[in-house]
Amino acid sequence: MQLMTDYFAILLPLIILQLILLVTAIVHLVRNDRLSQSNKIIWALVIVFVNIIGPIIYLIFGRKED
Amino acid sequence: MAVLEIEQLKKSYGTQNVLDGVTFSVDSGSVYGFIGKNGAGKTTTMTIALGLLKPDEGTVRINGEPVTYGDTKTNKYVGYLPDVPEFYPFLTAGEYMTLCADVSGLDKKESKKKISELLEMVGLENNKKRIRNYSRGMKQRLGIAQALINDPILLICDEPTSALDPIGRQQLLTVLKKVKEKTTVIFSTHILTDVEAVCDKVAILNNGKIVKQGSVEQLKAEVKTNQWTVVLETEEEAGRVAEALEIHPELLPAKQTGVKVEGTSESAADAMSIILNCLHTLSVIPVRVERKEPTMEEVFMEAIR
Amino acid sequence: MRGYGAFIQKEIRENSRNYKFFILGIIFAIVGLLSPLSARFLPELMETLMDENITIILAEPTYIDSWLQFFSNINQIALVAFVLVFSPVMAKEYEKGTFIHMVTKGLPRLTIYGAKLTVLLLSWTIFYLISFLITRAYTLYYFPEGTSEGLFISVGSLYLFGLLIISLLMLSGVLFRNSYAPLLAVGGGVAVLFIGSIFPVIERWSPLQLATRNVEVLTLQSTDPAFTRGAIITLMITVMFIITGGLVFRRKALQ
Repeated sequence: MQLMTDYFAILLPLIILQLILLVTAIVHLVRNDRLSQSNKIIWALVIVFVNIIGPIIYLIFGRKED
Repeated sequence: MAVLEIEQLKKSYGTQNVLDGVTFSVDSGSVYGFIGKNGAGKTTTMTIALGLLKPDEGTVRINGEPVTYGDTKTNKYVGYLPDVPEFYPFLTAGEYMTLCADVSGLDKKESKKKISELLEMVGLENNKKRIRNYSRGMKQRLGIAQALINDPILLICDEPTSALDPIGRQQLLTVLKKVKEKTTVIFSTHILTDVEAVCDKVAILNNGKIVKQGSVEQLKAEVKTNQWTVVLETEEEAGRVAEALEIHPELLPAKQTGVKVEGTSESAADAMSIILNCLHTLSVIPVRVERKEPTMEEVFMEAIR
Repeated sequence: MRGYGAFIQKEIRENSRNYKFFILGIIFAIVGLLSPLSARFLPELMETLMDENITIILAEPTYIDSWLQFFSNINQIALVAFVLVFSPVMAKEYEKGTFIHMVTKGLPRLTIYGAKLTVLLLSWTIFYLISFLITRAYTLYYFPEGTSEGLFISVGSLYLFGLLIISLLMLSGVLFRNSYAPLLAVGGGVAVLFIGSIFPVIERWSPLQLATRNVEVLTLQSTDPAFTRGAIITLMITVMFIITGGLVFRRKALQ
């Protein structure tokens, strides 16, 4: 039981951080009008399925804003 | 008083002499056109005047103070608008102007008023968009506003109109005319109609040298070839007039097309008196006799020949 | 001074609006969480993955393992991400010509350089602190028997090594217009340090000790003269890089 609490004490914030990252990237992607529809789908897959790294890569290289 | 004095400016890249002893000065209270072909060295001259580039030889003075390479003190007198201005895309126009005001060391209270005035002048007030979403024309107008934030006594514009559509150009020229009341403007261009629209004086740069400078009227007066046209009622009359004019050596060969006789001469006044005399002796009544003002284009073409 | 403040504000806006602070914040926080997590649970994970016929004896993890993970994660993930995210710090402005407006408005170049450097150093400080505090809190929770003796020096030395990397990032950013150049410069610099460490003479003076001997310092709870020399050298090179970068930027062609 102690192990479970130990586990959740640290896993919970980790999951929350991942979710924040995921949601930020997805929200940005949906609003981004500089990407074509097909590019958006590819990015969406990358963001959702490549854990942590996916959203980060999108936010650094995929935004196409500057 | 001269706001900008450039003396014997030389700059070469490798074996290519971009500037080869450029000398001219800009008096205060004028719009000064700096004309030249693409690659004539206009931008190079301006960059040196801003202390962004080191000349090989020569000096530039602004408001009497010498320009030095690097952090030059003379920049506080100057506003600069590059040909394709780029601003921080993540800021709004208001934020960018505030940054410029802070950087120029303007009084905090004053700067707020100043910023809204300038943004209103260029038509960007209440614009909450970030600069990354601006069109070329909007950036150019913001460019003017930011260049004027420090009340410069000299505004340097590098081909401000060349990238704009006709409407954007008109707006920009209007702003330049407005600015003229307080600030001396020097702008480089190869669009000669713009020069005629706003410039008082011009300098023409060719092959790294100033080949001609002076007021627009003065330069036009100096142009050697003046065009004239006589329009008559019938072709027959036109033929007679053309024939009669041929014997005058002052007039370069006249050409008849339909009812029109056209030609050039070195002196517009002489040409006119000869033509009028000729018409009188032939007792022909013309529909129109016209002497064409030389355009800046002709001035330019002759200067760089 | 006003120009300095205004330019810092611009940098902060830029980095927040371009998600740079956000990304680094998340990465450093994850590193802070991941380190005690893997120290605490890796042995159990190993056991479940291992074939039952093979018995391996795993030592009971201690607070040292947690910090060991911290040091290697900061080195291999967080610092790398930091350099990646900030490598275009100068190149983008060179490329777009945005410095020109600032310089022609009379903002001294050293102020620009100083403001950029300040923001980088502050970011590193804050993010590193976040990461450290998270690891520290969980390490205390999981391994209450651990001591904090030697912790300050071992964690501080990695921080110092980060400063060296940032000063090199800025110097190479000033020197080269390409946005990948700082990556290569930092990568090359670290490679040189590793190659140098093959030779014991250099190893005993190398700044690399600050990034590789942290666990040793923590375990022994003391430093030796070689480590101290490395720290002093690091500090000296950092200052030298910073000054050189400033001097070069003052004379750098902006167009």
